[in-house]
Amino acid sequence: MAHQVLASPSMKVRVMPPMLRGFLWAGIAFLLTNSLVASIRPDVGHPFVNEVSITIGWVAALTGWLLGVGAYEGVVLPLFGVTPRIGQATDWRRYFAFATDHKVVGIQYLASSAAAFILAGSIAMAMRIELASPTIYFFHYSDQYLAAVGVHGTIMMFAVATVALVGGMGNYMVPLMIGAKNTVFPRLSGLGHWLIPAGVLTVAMSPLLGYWTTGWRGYEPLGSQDPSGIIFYYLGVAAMALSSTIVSLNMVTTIVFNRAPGLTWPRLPMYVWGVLTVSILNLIWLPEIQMTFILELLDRLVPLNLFNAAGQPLAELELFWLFGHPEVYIIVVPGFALWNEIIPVMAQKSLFGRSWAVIGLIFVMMLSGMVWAHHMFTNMRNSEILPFAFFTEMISIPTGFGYMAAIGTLWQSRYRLTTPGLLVLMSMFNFLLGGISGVYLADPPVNLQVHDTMFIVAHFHYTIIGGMIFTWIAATYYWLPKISGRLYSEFWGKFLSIWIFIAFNTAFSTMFLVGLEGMNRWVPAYPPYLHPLNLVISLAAWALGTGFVLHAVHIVWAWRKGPPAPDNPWNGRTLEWLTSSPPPPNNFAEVPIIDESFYVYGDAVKPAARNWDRLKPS
Amino acid sequence: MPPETSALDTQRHGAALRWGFRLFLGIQLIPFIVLFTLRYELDGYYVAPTVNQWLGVAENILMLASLVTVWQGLTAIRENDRETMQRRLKWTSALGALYLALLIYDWSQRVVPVGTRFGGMFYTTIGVSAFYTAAGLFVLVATVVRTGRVVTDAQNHWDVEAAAWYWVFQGAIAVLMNLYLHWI
Ligand code: HEM
Ligand SMILES: [Cu+2]
Repeated sequence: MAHQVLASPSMKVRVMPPMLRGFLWAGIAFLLTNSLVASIRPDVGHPFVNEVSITIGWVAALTGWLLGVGAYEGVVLPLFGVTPRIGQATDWRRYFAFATDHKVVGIQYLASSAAAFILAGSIAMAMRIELASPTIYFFHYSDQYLAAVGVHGTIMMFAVATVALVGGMGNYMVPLMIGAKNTVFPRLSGLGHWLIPAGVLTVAMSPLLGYWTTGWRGYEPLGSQDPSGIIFYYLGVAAMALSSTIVSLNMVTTIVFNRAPGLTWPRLPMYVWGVLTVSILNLIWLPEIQMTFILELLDRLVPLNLFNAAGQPLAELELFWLFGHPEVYIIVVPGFALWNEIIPVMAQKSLFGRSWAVIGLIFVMMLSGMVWAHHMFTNMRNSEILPFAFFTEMISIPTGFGYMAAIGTLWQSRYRLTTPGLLVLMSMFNFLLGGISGVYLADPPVNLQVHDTMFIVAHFHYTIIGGMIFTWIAATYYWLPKISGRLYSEFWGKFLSIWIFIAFNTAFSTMFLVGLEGMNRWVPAYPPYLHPLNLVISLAAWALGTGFVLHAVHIVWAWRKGPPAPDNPWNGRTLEWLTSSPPPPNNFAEVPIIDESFYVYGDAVKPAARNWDRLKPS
Repeated sequence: MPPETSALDTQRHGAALRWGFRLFLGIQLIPFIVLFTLRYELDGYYVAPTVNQWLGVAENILMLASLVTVWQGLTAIRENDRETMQRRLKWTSALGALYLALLIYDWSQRVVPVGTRFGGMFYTTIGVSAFYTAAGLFVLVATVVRTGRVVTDAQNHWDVEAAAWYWVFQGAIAVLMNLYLHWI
């Protein structure tokens, strides 16, 4: 029968801080499992830690870690019908343990993403130290440099770009914006977060097992010839992809079922549309890439002959890019949505062509699965290239819808150039250059010239940093008053934004040039004639890195010490602005009832919720 | 869920859980689509002549039988019969365990060399589906333990329902994959 022990949130019962317990359990699980494998199979047990034992040991360690941080009480005991003796903490400690409150989980995700961003960013700084000179001087071997590039790219893609605006902002804001108390599967999101630190640590530790050289794409047959470090790339990505998959499952179900009365599909906030479309992409493509990586792992451990010369190396490339191109839209679609979320508020002007913007998001989502082979033009016949070139160029049309909605809203408006407002405009400028260079890349003659040069690197950093990271920072400033109840400094916010804008554009526009001049990707050394341009890039890149860190410092300062913010500093109309800052545990004092659009401004408009004056906790 | 939820809220929450769970099962098809495609690319519909086809049939019969018992279990709890439900779930777990044992025997014969194009897909595809079966076994055991501890009746049995759906899902996958790699 049920253990009717009082579920007390008292800290006295908790013997150990959850994260510490997670580390401990992970360590024990790893040692036990690794020893077990080594003793059962002495032939693979030399050396004691080998590729097979470390893989199985890693799975055990991940399980130990998740249970240790709180899934034992939060998931496993309830699964077996046992009421845990200890509840969730209610003070600051709740941020350092398994949590089910969507706002806590959102902040956990944001913090982990930001930490991963700083970590992978410092690796990028090291790469630019190396590339500041034509000869190898900072790294010791070229493989060491390549491993650094791989760790940088993998963490940035799977722990930052895919995560910050879905697991982070999505978990926090979506329930608020749709007038819900919580998500449908709070435990999935809660569990999902703790997979991120595990995955990031795994990838970050991969060079300890040997310098792998494939970069974030894990190309075969290179991968199967690489040192063992690549194993931690497969495993780390598996953990992080799982995290985003289960969060997306929760987001989609929450958006379908937990909308407040009157919040019909046509009224759904833009950002929620963004999270919905991205979550669908995640649900389709993340399981695909996960299975692919598991196959690559087995290919190596068993060993099989799936992707080497006896199998089909090209199949791996196809499977990777089938996911890989949707991935780039997974990154940038929440950004598109946020432009159209923030711009009408800053302009206090009705969103222009709103339904076109939504249609744009949906078509981008669908087309993104039809263009993958533009990453493989150098491996294809001309006749196969053409349809992919065509679809790739077509994708700029629905992208343009979202863009035009933003421009139309800005048109003749009295736009308030606040920090988030400014960052959104900067992001749109950057993305324009990134997107247009993408259209060039879709042109076979151009592509075959610049493929695998720094031109590509400039292209995708313009879209990812310029499009997604700038928007992430904008969204952080935009919602900071809501999340923390405090205001940032408008001077420092703008000053630092201009700083990163100049540094970013200097670094990456020069990178286009150096690529056209013949600078390859994946090389730590280059001919001396490329030195001046590379030096410019390196200097600007360090300035950019510093700018990001200063933004982080400023945001943390404002979060803790900034002046108190009013509940609705921007005069926004979406639901999150109708509750207090920060929002109370169940978000609203009563369920909001919506009968107006969120994106219509003018003198006669009423608040979007009928019971707007009763939503704040008293 | 917060305590002060109305009956309507509970109903809607139940619908959300069901829908979300179906979506979850839906995306679990994707790994198998990958395996299916890759096998087609590597070997077409070739099946190695050394494969023990009748062992494959025996495995499938066990699995199909377990699908029947799990469904009986779900029907039982819908009729408020907790004991029968638990008995049927125990039967299902036993059949599932037997299925896995037979699979391990099948594999241990090594009739298909691991390193060949067919062998690679044979072991990975059936292996992945066996992983889903193992997870299903864990869920079944957990459900049996759980339903002994918390209120389980005709109104409250979302856990049994989810476990049953999952078992049916993995069973269908296992049967198809077995057929696909032993016969087609
Ligand atoms: C939506 C934001 C976008 C992001 C985040 C993005 C990201 C990327 C990334 C990461 C790569 C290189 C991956 C690698 O090789 O490691 C890439 C390459 C490419 N992108 Fe984009 N991209 C975006 C938009 C576009 C658009 C709009 C187009 C075309 C209309 C485009 C066309 C291409 C092409 C053709 C390549 C392959 C170049 C080559 O390797 O030869 N991209 N992009
Ligand atoms: Cu692409």
